[in-house]
Amino acid sequence: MTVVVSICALILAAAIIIGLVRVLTARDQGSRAVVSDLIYFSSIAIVTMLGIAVSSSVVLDVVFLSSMVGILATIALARILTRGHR
Amino acid sequence: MNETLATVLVGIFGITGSLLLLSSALAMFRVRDSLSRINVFSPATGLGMPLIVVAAYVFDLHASGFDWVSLLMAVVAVLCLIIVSSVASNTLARSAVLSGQPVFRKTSPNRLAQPPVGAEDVEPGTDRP
Amino acid sequence: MIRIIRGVSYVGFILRAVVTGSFTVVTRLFRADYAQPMIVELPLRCATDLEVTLFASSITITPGTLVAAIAAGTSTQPPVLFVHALFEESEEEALAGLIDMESRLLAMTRGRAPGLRTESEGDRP
Repeated sequence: MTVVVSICALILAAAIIIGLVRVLTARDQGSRAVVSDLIYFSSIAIVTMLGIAVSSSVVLDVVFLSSMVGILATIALARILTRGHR
Repeated sequence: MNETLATVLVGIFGITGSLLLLSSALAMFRVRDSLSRINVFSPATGLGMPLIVVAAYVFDLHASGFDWVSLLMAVVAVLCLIIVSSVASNTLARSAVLSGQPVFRKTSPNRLAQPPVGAEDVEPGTDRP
Repeated sequence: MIRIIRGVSYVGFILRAVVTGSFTVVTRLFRADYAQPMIVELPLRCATDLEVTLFASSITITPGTLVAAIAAGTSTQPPVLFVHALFEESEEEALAGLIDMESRLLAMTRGRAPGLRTESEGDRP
């Protein structure tokens, strides 16, 4: 189990690093917003994999709650893009 | 459920989901504007994250046995990811268009910038009541 | 009863579209020409708010198509969706795929598939 989870965490870490490079090199704000969203979901996946690795009993609770509140980050970024207008 | 089967299932679902997230991150480099980036982001939330949830559910099934509450939580989490990420992508795309983010110049046809063939502009001022 | 069957088949259709679209996004990574972005204009046959919301969400969750803007309908004109498509060959092909999805959705919500829109017909209530 540990080997599999480590492989997943490595792939997700690579996704986060690529996303950070993309945030640094992006020219417009919209790209930065959507790549930040990708980094958020990758972090949630890494936390899930960490929970599986240490045999935690709240793995499903973590991914359940974070998938429900994930929209708040995107809505906040969208509101920032339009500077407060709807 | 024995240890080997749980490991194989977690491996299949987890690695597939992680690879989908990684390829979505790679696709961010291949397209040029923010609308296309929101577009290629939907495999990550529509298929990649549900697979991660399924991997977490398989591990929960292996660790603590079958439970209706955890099955309900997994189903609601998958439905939330699909519906909520769709609405979130709509909102983000709308605000990207409204705030005037640059659109890739080779986007053709671009119906937001040019009218369809045959449409005529009415001269302003002539049709006022 | 027939609506439930059509609803289940619609959900299956959406899931299949999500899987094949994700496969397209991944396999296109290994090609030199990645995408041909376009923004097409789609006049809707959906009338109620529920149908428009379901249709917009279905378009967005499918990888490769994205609702960029929506224009509200008036008494004479239907509402219009502006759809950003990445992997379609031409505008007609993109519109044909979207209209097929809309027909399946309307068959679920109304119980029967409506005909294609003719130019002068206004079927808004």
